[in-house]
Amino acid sequence: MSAERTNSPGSSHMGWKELYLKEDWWAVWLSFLIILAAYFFFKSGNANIMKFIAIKPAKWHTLGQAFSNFTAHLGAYVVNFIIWLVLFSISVSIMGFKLSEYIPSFIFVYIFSVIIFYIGAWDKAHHYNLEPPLVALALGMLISNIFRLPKWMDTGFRVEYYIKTGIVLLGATLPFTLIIWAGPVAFIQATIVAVTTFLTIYFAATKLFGLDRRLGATLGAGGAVCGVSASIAIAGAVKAKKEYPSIAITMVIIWAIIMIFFLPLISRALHLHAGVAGAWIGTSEFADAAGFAAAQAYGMLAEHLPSIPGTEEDAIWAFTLMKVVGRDIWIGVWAFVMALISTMKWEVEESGVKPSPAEIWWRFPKFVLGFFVASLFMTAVTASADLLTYKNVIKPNLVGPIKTMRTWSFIFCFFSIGLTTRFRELAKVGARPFWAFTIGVIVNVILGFILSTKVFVNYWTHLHMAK
Amino acid sequence: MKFNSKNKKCCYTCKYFKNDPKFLEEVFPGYNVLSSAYGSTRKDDGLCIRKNVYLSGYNVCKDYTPKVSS
Repeated sequence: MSAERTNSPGSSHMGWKELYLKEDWWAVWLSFLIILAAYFFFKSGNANIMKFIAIKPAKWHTLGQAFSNFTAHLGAYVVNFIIWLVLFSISVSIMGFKLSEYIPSFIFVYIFSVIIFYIGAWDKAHHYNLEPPLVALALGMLISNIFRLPKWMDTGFRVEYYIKTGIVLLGATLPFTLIIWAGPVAFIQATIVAVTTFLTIYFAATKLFGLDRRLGATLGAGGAVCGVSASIAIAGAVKAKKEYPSIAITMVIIWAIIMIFFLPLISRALHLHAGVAGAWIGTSEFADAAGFAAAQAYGMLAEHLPSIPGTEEDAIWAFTLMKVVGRDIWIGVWAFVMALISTMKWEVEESGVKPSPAEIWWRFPKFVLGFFVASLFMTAVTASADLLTYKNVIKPNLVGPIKTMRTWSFIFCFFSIGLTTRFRELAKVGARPFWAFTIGVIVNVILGFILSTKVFVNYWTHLHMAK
Repeated sequence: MKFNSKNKKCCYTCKYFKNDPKFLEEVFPGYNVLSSAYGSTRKDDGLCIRKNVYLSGYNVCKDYTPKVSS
């Protein structure tokens, strides 16, 4: 056995270095900093400082009003930009990205995010379906598929980092009592759909289309558990061939983008309650980022159209419970179980080691911990407030600014999805994997619809009861 | 080959195993659209460029070749 010198970067077991090398943890640290800053300013009677930082556009009717509003608050936008830039730059630099690439790319993202945020503040935006998430996605896709942006700019289009930061901030605006009340229901509904969809895709792939079981498992994880992240985790667990994750990635992206538009459209046509639609999106969307785009888009519609019951928060909360609590946190379990099956039943040669239950922890999406802690913290510090104080003091001065920072992070994410969705670069997918996955999508959407609108509808239409 | 934790003969120390997140995002097109190689769920899995298999670094096979960093 010969040893050869190599300059290959990073082939090592990370262990606890992940605390500063993984996006999940940085999303937690950044968000905690924002939440604690908001709390500190609130408690010290300086809520106006946080409200200054957490600037957002005011509603406008004419372009002149929009421009006046922006110039009047230019200082606040500059401060907001600098804070985001500094926080993200420090973290991405430690994770190994080049600041010479990240900084100009983030400036590009931020400028367009301001424009997108302002479009959303137009008083006619919802009439024309110009919900900021959809505008961000469409604009990003237009730019990336018509113009060829330099590849190095991908450094600033960190979709997952932005959405994870937004989700932890979301935790601070979601009562922990809601997680206790609706969490188990979300888990039950999500598990029914996830297991059914996985088995559908797996058996369609292997029995119907004769595909390799490792490909079936990789596709199944993508369609049933948690999109690309789950596909990659299961691919590693079952030792998939190199092309299998690429195939699953293409299928997830295609269907996730379709669902961002399809699910809110159908929900609107059926006048679904915002909470019900959020739950349905939570089982039918494949990725957190895509799902939040759909849920937030529908939630914003609900805020502005009397024909749609519920609120924006209903849609987002229902989606979060279903996707984050019901699906995301179980990735490690799926990976562990599939690794066991792969090692004990599928191995052809002795190349495997028995997987350790520690896999469940190492693969656990750590940003979800931040989400729970943020929710617990905010619930605890506001528990003693009466309803009037909460509504008139806490909501506008503490929760409100955190929510605005969350919206910024989500806009960065949605725009980055569009900018990174370059169809010409995706791996080609054959007819058999396409149809195996698509059959699963159909089953998933129908089953999720039935469970959300019929079986568990009372939960999703009464989320405000748990506040 | 059985995994031997004492001599750490495994993919992690094999010259054919690559798990740098930047490399993985380039090798799997579209990875960074709705996910990230810098996320927890990937742990530190990587690609065996000899066998073109994506797997956990704790594995080992008969083609193991120790890597020596320069």
